[in-house]
Amino acid sequence: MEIIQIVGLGLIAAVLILVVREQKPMFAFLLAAFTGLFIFLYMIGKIEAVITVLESLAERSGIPSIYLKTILKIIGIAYIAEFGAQIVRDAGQESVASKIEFAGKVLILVMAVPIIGVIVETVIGLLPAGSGQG
Amino acid sequence: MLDWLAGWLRQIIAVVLLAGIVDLLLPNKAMQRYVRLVAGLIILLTILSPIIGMLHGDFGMKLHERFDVWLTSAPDKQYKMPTLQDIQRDAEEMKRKQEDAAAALAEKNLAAAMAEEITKKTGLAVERVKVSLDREGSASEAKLASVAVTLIPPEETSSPGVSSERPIGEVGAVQPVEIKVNGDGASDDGGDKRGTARQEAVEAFSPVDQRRADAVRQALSDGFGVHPSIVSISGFEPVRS
Repeated sequence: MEIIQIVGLGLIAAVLILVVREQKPMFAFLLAAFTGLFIFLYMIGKIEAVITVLESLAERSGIPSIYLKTILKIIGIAYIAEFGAQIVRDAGQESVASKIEFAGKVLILVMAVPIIGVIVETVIGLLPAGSGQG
Repeated sequence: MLDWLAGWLRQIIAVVLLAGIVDLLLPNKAMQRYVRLVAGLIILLTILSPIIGMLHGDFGMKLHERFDVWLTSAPDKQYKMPTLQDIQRDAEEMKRKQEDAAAALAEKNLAAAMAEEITKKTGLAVERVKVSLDREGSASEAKLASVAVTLIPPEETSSPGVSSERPIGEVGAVQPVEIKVNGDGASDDGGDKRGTARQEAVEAFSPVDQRRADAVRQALSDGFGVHPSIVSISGFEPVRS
């Protein structure tokens, strides 16, 4: 029944934020950020079970572990970037939030660079004349 | 053959499932396109793996290598901020070097001035003056540690047995020393000769007589306030035949 706890926490936080926002907008933002952080850290422990399942799946089917590592890194980057961007967006800094998202996208693409390199090398190797004298 | 096919299919299915779960786990739409690109590439690589394996056998190792290079080289490129300790250490080193250079210059100038003073006051020709400063702490509080004066002996010397007209340069031309070495190695021979020459050169430095030494000490004491006890005087005497 963890979902009830999470929803309760969210509702209380929302009501408190509504009350406080009239007097002190600063504290409203802090409260929102803290609530978000708490839920994020609380749930990140639960993701471990999913990751374990994914790892066993990868191990049994014999796909290289480097694929799984890359994919997990991509998920982590996406979550962290999204979380940071939302907090900053709550504070009203839309432009900074979009920069954080941009950084997340770039880092995800960087993860793909070794794979792209291998594929391009393979394709070049497939062409009989293209490999040596071009 | 069937086993290999089953393994290949299992790999493809697992990767596609993985990609589906990743799609599900993603937080928002903005990242989805990029993640789909990477997942698609991985699926493509898995499907192509038999062809790749046929072309070059060590494909898995190559991929690992590439990943390692990519992942480990990234932190090296980052600029490392020097810490405060680094900066302070550099500053200490630079200060020490600067003080050393200043002390060396001071020693040189002082030595030149002393040589001039000795020549002016006593009329003795000075071959070399070596001053060493002792500085504890800062360079501004340096004091003289020792003064070594090397005198050229006067041309007309009263001591018997030394021909005055013979220049010093000729002294170096010693009679060749015959040394019998077992084995007659050419390099051994040369080394022995050099050693003998060095020994003779050391013997050539002999203490000067007391009168001239006292005159030099007096000159240094008057002109620079140098305590006589730290002045060492040697003369370049010709080797007596």
